[in-house]
Order: sequence, then C-alpha cells, then structure tokens
Amino acid sequence: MGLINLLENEYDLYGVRWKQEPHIIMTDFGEKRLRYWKDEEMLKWHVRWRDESSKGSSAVPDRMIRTRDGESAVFDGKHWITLHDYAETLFGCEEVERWGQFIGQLLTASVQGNYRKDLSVEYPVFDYNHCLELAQNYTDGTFQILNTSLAEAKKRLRFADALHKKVQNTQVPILEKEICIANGKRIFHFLFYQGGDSKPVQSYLPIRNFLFEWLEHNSPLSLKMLLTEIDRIFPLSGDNGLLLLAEITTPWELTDCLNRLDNTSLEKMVEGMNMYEAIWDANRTFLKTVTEWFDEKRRKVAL
Amino acid sequence: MTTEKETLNYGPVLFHYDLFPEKLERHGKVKKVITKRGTFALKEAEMNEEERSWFTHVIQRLSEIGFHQVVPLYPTKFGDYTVQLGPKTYYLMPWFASDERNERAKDEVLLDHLGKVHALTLKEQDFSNEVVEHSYQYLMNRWENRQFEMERFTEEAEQKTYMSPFELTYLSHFHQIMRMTEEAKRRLKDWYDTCQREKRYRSVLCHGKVSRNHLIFNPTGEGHLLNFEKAVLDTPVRDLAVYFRRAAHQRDWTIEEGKVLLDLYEKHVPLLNEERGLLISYLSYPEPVFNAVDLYSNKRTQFSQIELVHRLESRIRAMKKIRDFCDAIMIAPPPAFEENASNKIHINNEEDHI
Repeated sequence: MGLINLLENEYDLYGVRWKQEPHIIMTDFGEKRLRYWKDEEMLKWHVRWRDESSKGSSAVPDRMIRTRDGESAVFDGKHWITLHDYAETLFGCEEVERWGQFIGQLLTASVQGNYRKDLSVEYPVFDYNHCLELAQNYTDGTFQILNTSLAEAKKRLRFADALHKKVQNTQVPILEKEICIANGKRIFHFLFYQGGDSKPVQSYLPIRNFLFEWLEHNSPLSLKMLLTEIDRIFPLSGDNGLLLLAEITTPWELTDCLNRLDNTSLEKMVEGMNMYEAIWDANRTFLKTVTEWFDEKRRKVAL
Repeated sequence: MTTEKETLNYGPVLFHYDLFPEKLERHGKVKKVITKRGTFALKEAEMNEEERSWFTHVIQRLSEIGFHQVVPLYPTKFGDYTVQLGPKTYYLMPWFASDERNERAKDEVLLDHLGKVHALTLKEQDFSNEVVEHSYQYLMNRWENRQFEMERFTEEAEQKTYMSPFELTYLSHFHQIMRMTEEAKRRLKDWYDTCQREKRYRSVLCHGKVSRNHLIFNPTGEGHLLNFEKAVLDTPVRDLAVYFRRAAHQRDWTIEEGKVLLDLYEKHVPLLNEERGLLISYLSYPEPVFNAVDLYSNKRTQFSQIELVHRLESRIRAMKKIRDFCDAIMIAPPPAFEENASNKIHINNEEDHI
C-alpha cells in the first residue's frame, strides 16, 4: 500500500495527491504537510510542545492532525509520519500582541511541561576559548575593533555567568532549536506557527535569537512591546527573566562575527570587517534595548 | 445572515474542525454552521480548564455506561472535544432541527432521560458526617440570610405611608411566603436528621441545568439531552427541583401532570423518603419570589411597576401550585429501590469516579 493510500485510510481523506513530494499534499481538507520521524521519543516531544503551547493561546502551532483512531502519527514500516496544516501567507510582525502571546505560551508550556524525561536534548554552550583561537589570525593593530570586542565579550560572559549562578535551581525551557518569524503564517486572522522537527535544546538561546531577529525587522520600541506581551503570559520579572537576560548577554554573535572574517584578499577582509562591525553593533543595540526594558519594568514595579 | 466579519471571527474556531462556513446563523449561544460537509451546531461557553475536562469526561462516560441519548460532541482534527480561544470555550455538535410535533412529549422524554441518567450513575455514598453537616449548614445559613433580607424589606415597606403596588402585593402574601420558608427549613432539618440517623445519602450525575431547551430530537424523533456544562455529582433531587420549579411557572402546568412526570422518573429511580422530603424542601423555599423582590429593589428603574407586579404575582401563583404539588407527592410510594440497586450500572463504580 502506498503512502497516499495509507494517509487516505488512516486520516479519512479523499483525493489525496502530491503537491510537493514528499512533504506537501493536497487533500479534500486543503493543503497538508507531512513530517517524517525516526526517533519516537523526539516525535512525542514535538507532539507535546505543540499540544501544550496551543492551550488557551490565540496562536496555533502546527499540531499533529489525529488519525481516525485518535493517534498522532502513522507508521509506514520505516518512519513515523505526521500530518499537519500548511499555510504560505506570512503573518508578519505587525501584530506584536499575538507573537507575544505565542512565545509566552510556548515558554510556559516548555517550563511546565516536564519534558525532560527520556528525551535527548542539546545544551548550547558558548566557547570563548574557541573564539580566541579563531581571533589569533587577526591580532595586529588593523583589527582594533576585534580586540575591543573580545574584551567586551569577556566582560559580558562574566556577567552572564554571574546571572546563571544566581538562578541555578530554575527550570530552563526545552525548545525547538530555531524559532523564527518566517515560520509564522496567517490563517484567517490568527497566527499559525509552523514548527520544525529538529532535536530540542534546553536553553533560552532560541528565544534570544528570535528576539534578535525581531529587532532586525522592527524598532527597539516594538521589541520592548513584544517583551511586555511575553511577560503578560510568562512573567520575566523573576528567575526566568534573569536566565533570558543571561542568554542575551552571552556574546553568541562573537563566533558568528569571527567565522565571517576572511583574510584571503583585501576586499574580502574589508567586507568581513564591515559585516563584523554591523553584527556587533546590532547586538549592542539588542542588548541595550532588552536591558532597558528590564530596567523600565523594575522601575514600574518599584513605583 | 453571515457577514464576512463573522466568518472571520469564527474561522479560528472552525479551523480546528477543518470547516469553512457558507453561512452562520445565530441561535442564542449556539451558532448554526452551514458548510459543504453538513450543518453543525457550534456552542459557545465559559468554562475553565477543570470544567472543560469534566464536561468532556461526562459526555464520554455517559456513552461508556450505555446512555446514548446525549447530543455527541465532534472531536477537532487534533483530537480535542473543546476549543479554547481566549476566555471562551467552543464545542461542535450535529445540528438537529426543532420538530414541533415532538414538543408535547418533551417533558416526558426529558424526565425519562433524566431518570435513566440518574439510575445509571446512582451511588450510595459512604456516609460522611462532615459532608452532610456542611451541606446542611451552608443551605440553612443561605436560606436564613435570604429570609432575613426579605423580612427587612417587609419592615421598610410597612413603614411607608404610601406603599407601591409591588410592595402591597408582596405584603399581602408575606405570611404565606414565610410559612413556605419555614416549611422548607423544617423539611431540610428532617432530611438532615434522617441522614444522621440512617447514615446514608445517594448521589447521581445531575445534569445541573435541566430545561426543556436542553432536550432536542434527532431526525428520527429520538430525544437527546445536551448542555452538560454544569453537570455535577449531587443528590437526584437537585435536578428534579430545578425541573419542577421551572415547570410550575408554565401557565398550563398542572399538579396531575407533575405527578405523572415524577412517577415516570421514579420508574428509574424511586426516591427514598428523605429524598422526597428534600425535594419538597427545595421546592417549598420561595426563592423565585425573593428573586422578584431583589429585582424590584435593585433594578426597578429598568421595568415598569406593572411588569414587576405581574412578575411577582406569577411567581406567587407558581409557588401555590408548587405547594399543592408538594402536598400531592408527600405520600411516599412503596420502596422499590433496594431490589434494583445491585443491578444498576454505576457511573462511579470504577475507582469510585465517574
């Protein structure tokens, strides 16, 4: 029995045909996406975070459509296959409130979900020594910005470590490795978030990256509004906020900046340095905006 | 008529069912959703997570224990039975068109179904003095506080030189209303004493909001109960009191009709003497009259004096019918419950949970 037949039988679908083999199909209920899983534990985690983060939220993640028997996946002998809704229209960044609700709900579910059991997760760790190795090729005076940034990075790292030490017993969320704006699609007028299938990470790094991406597309004020909306659902005033701040303070961009440098020609070198400066500056603005938001929030609470 | 805005508003809910409405019609808190895949009823409710979970559990459990005359819930494509959007909860059911031909039989079917649900879920509870004591004290306190409020209203009205027509009407029935209140309290005390003596009380799954509007007929004419949002484990008398109190307010309702319906119910669950007493107690307490007084006191500017007087008079008339009904049902029928008790399927018989 082919995959199409399997899907038609298990999901009570009719007239299923490929739109984009092997991922997108056309059905009598519209376009649907297929995902293939080899690791059952990981599949279970992906089912759970989607189910849990959809509760009470006006944003909807691409939850697994259930089979006629109520199962979240079918097995074709090789993989577990899941069926999801599919949309192409981007949601965009205008509706900050909806994004904030979604991220807040996602964080709440990730922290409360007790996902850790039997699940293999990654823990992203910033490697300062590796950055020093990469920077060794660029030590002369021409690369003054690089030396300055290394010193600044070290300072930030110390600050992040101090924050981490302060909140050692707080649950760190387990999240998808990549959370990005482009995954937000529009169905009717709600935010439909298309998740992925990657191995999860236990870290605030995906949220940090999302917030940074938000600032790339929007103003600092918009980022602050987003943080306020997240805070309504998932309070950032306590330890969770400190952990997020620690992740934002960690100079993750340093590795990225150094990897972009290329001293094979003068032209590439100049281009690389310009890029380095731009990324470094953008991250400075990011850090400044977030710390400002935390300060403003603290002041409001104090009042 | 459906507007594009309405379709958009309900789009996020209907998305969970992969339904695209061609037309939406408002019928109170229910939307009639017409789609290419059929016609559905979308109910909007306010329930917290615990209530949602209990509600879906009740519907599923009723089916498991063999009561199929419940309007089924359709699962979403994600396997949930409710959709939560902001503060609202939604659930989807098949749409059954109202059938005027069955309207007359509605009360009989309703009481018959209620009896079946109660019989299937009947459970003699382990006696808990704490529970009985709490229930008794709570209700008695509430009733006495209400009685005190009404007495105060009476005293204030009596001090006026010119009483309003509403106050005059109320005062002319005051002693009779207070007699009913005392009767209700006496019956409640009797129930409490019997529970203490017999060390028993029974619970069933109560619908919680028994009403003719919560029974509809499917295309084959079979009656189905709906709206179990307020379902609760309690004495069977709870549902009966809600039903009879409401029924007595219908102009053409008669005591004979009430007796026939109670007999019909008791074919499934014969009431114990103390339960009958408790039913009389619940029914005797003139809460509808007190509510009419509340309305007069708090919202008199929103209604005309004549409307308020008519409302009060209609409630007093209904209470008189209730009093006669209570007199008529006071004679206990022969006990039949004990023989059948062992054959009942209990909703709680697995791990003592519904």
